[in-house]
Amino acid sequence: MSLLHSAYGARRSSIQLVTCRGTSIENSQLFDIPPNERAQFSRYEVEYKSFVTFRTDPICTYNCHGMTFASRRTGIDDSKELWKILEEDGYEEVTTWKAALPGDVILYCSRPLVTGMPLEIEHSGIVMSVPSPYDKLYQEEAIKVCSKWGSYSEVLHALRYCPYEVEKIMYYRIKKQTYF
Amino acid sequence: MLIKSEQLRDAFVFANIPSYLFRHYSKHPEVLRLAQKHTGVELARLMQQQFKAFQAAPDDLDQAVTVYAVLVAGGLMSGRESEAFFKALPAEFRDIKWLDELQALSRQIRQAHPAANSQEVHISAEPLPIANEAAGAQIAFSKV
Repeated sequence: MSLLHSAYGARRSSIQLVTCRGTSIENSQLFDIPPNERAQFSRYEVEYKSFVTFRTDPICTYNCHGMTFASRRTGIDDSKELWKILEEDGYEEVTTWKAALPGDVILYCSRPLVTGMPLEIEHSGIVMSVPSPYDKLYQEEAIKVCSKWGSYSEVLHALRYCPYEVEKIMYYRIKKQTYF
Repeated sequence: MLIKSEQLRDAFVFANIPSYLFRHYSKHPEVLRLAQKHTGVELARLMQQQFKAFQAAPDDLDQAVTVYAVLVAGGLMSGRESEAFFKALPAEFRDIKWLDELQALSRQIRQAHPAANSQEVHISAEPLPIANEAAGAQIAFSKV
């Protein structure tokens, strides 16, 4: 996350992003990684490299939600916009992890800070693999995910091996044609 | 004043949404201490000092983290003090990413929990077990 874009002379922008129904989605792009974050990245490479696979260099044009819902073209940082996408693009919840499939969207949700508001989607990614009942480790933790960690890299990781709240995991998929 | 915390640095880098930042920062003892120790106007003055320090050393992540720590502390104050804090910030601070969102979040929390408007109230953002997922979360408020 960049503190103050102008402090770095960083270039920022947004693009025209809409849901399947044509509703605009707020988004923002950043093109220069703040120098003060680069030093932190090298620590993560050391700390996580034994447990995860870094799929990309650090990229700040998009965040996790931009990777999951905007084809890596921009960042989305408002949970309300994400719920809008899920509804208007025709996503349906996959109600149990056992029914999840590679390609499904995975949401890492936390309780909202304000009672009565929708769950906050702190993080999202794409399911890469799901264990089969014949596997030795047939449990949700064995699900593998591709996600982007803030302004850092895209990472392949085990479901819970990431720096986000895992209070409630949800899976979503577009299962059928939606008619508007 | 420079806050050096690996926990706050990580939350800064990994934050995808403002509430992630607010949640993680508002649990930190140094942020809570700032909210309790200062008035809104004092904290706004501190914010300006920290921001100048950040401009002088933009490569220092701890300096950026400290600016956000002060900002979240301002959002954790009682209603009157918090409003005074945000009002006292110079207009150019509106460029700070998520400042508006953090202020809105702070207001929403106070509106949902009117007890937080009392000056004697301490906000604790410690996680509570999800009792009713549909109803969502509750933030705990307790009298100091």
